[in-house]
Amino acid sequence: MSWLFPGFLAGAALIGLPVLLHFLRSKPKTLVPFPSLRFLGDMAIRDTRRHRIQRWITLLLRCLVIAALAAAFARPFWQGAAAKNHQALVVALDNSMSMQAQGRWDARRAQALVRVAKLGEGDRAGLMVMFPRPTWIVPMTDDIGRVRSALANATPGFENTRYAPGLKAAIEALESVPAAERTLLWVADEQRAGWLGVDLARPVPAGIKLELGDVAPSPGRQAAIVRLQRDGKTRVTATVRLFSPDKDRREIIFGEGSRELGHQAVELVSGENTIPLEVPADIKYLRVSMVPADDLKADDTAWIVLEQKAGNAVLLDPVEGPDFLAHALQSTKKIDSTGLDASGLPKGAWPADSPVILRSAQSFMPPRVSELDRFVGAGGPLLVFVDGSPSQTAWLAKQGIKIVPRSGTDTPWNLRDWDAEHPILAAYAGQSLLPLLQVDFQEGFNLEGAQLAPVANWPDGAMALAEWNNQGRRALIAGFPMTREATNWPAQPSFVPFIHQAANWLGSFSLMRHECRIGDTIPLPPGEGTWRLVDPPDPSAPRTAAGSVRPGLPGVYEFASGQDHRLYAVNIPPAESDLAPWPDPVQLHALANPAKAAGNQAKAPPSAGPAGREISENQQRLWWWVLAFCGLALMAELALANRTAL
Amino acid sequence: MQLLADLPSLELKARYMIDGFLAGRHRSPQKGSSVEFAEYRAYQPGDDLRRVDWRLYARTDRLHLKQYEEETQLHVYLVLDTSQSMNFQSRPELVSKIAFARLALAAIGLTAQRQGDAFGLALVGAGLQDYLRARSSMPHWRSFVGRIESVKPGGTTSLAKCLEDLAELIPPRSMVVIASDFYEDSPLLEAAVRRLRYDHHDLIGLHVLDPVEIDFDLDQTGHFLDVEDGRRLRVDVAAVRKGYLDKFSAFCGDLDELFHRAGGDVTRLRTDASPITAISGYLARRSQSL
Repeated sequence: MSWLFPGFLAGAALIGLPVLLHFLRSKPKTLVPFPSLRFLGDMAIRDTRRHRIQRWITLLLRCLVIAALAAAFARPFWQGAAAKNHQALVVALDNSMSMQAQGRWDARRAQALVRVAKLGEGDRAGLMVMFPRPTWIVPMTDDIGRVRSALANATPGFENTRYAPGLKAAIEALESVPAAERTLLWVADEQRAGWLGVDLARPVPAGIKLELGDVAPSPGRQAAIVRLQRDGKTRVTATVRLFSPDKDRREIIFGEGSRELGHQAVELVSGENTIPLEVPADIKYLRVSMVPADDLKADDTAWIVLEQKAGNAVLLDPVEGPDFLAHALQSTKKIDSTGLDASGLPKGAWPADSPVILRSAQSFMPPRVSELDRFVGAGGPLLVFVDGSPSQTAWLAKQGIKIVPRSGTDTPWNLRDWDAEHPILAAYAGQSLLPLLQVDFQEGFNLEGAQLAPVANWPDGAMALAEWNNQGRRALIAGFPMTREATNWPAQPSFVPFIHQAANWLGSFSLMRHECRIGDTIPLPPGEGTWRLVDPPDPSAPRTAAGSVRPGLPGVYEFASGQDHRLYAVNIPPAESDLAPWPDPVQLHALANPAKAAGNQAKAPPSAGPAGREISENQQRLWWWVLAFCGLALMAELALANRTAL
Repeated sequence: MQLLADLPSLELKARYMIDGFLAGRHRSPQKGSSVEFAEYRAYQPGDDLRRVDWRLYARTDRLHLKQYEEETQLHVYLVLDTSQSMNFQSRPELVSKIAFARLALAAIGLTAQRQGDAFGLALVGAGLQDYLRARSSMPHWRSFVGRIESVKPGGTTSLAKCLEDLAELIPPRSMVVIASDFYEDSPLLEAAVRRLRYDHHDLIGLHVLDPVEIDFDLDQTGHFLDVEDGRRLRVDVAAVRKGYLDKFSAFCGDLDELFHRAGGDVTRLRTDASPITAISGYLARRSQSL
């Protein structure tokens, strides 16, 4: 017997009440001898043995009523009773790009179809694809045919492989399903990169059987264009990685759209090969392909956007002492080619397409404040670090933003409730946000305003970092000064990635001319526009997009909004091209640990997760019976209590 | 009653009561010719002087009457209920029901003896415990008193069964005086009474009751213990008093009706009153019988 809300069982402690009252009730101590009780009869209460037993039964019934009430509220159910002799099967499908390798998809899918065909009446199954995030194609259902059909029609995508989320989601799903036998059918190529981050020493939970398929062999011939980089106006360097040990001869063909710009034969050696390509200066993007195709064709083509764009400078107002922000922005150049330039505010008008970061009170006082007003009026992207100065406070108040200095002795404060979906946290995607939570603040301001949307909060829930919806343009308000006295953030490793991503988002110039990968969230320029695949040509109509997009196919995309047309090159994640399987199959089978799993299954009934427990309870509805028993006990108690009263 | 209670023996109590009650009031109802000499007995005021043995008076200077066994002699059987319920005494200043019944029966027995009636004794409890055939001699009186005085109350009563057993033993047309609280099942009791009536016995019921049984004026609330079967009841006196009195009244009415249908009478005796009432009833009934 299990309980959905076991806390209610504590209510059974109220049993002590009738027991206490039973023993505390007044009992007449006088004994009056009388010649005959025949004239008292029903008017009196017999204190016979039978009568005493009735009183004990009454007490028992009262206790039972209370216990039954507590039990009914605790919602009892039999674990796994609903599916005593049935099995549940979750098919976890690796739909990453590596499954496009020759023969892999068909072989593994055929194995899965055979396994699904073994399911019988009353069994349940579900189909889940693991990428880009675990998603149910067919949620757990009795309709096995639907699962079979969906499995037969499934196709692999271009996503990167990371097994950990899919494994976790599949196990959780199985744990939540009541069944006598629960199986996770793992339909994957066991790519080495995918298992990184999974604790292989920790087998799947007891009661769940993990069925791994055959580990796919390493491909005989595999090379991928892992990177394209512009080196000058007319030169692009292609980096090709050959994964097979033997040399391979290929021909590199490059062009723009249907226009072929050139081709050259190359001999690839195992590892990375750099191939310079001379291209015209007037092209907008370049497509580079390798022929003949190898085991995995999808990564034999890559794209790069070559059109010029205004500089990616970030404008900073001057501050006294060391300028941590300027240092951080300059250091972003070491991260990758999307590095930013930090420069001071111009004397004239501030360019509206460059992000401006303001920290000092002077920026909110004449004459600079007039430029600020003009910049904001034009929808310029802005980041303000609040220092609480009167001029800054007054300017923000004019924009409808109120700042309230924080007080209290509970410093240092940390930021919490980070909006993990916000684009400025893209640098932390898939990683821990812990570094952001560990930053200490000695000074801070609570932000209030109807136009503010929180990105992070102070420990008491007040807004600390917010996105300011400034007429569709991007702006951020940070409720803390960016000084070493106020915070230790500049000295933390999380500072540079955060500033880099924030400035990128503000300026909307990230990932534009450079590498963008399948699975990345691409921030779009402000406003609504159309999003379409330019190369390879897509016959389908452009779709409307705003905010950000997450393309699922490689190629060159165009976002058009009014006169603004921007191109985005989306390529295959380079790690996905490495088709090598996990080197030690024994480790993978230890993860399944069939002997232990079977043993545990025999010993202990599988435990359902919260959702499964609720489903089981809902199906059984034992609480109705308990409540009915409670009613009967109550009626019996009333009948007996009337006899034993006095 | 207190004076009576203080007297040391039942014989004395009976004599005291009878002497005071009968002095100069009654002539012996004995009539008819003698058939067979039975015994002498001392002259009692009211005796017929014609029956005085003058010769014996001449020799002894004492008045004695000659007693004869007569065919018309009345046989009186005194039945005493010895069950535990008869041992009830609600207050210390009162006598128990059985003590009261003993006195009443002893007085009746003495009256019968003095009037030349043969009187016997039946002690009834769970069964017929003791039986004394009817005689009218003085030694028989003393034996009667000794037995009635030594009886120890206890157990339950099967009054009806005992009366039916007694009916097999006693001669027809006797007078049966029953001292009991009559806590017996009515149908059984009715059958027994009908049986006695069948043999043309005269029936006198002495319904001996403690005042508490009649008035139910207790001020206690608690467990009531049935002194016969040990059953217990939790009783709130105030709550059940009316119901009790109604039921008790109905019981008494049924008992009276039962005896009346059998041609008998019931005299209700309270232990806080004088047992003389019992003798009056007896004498009135006797005069009807003869």
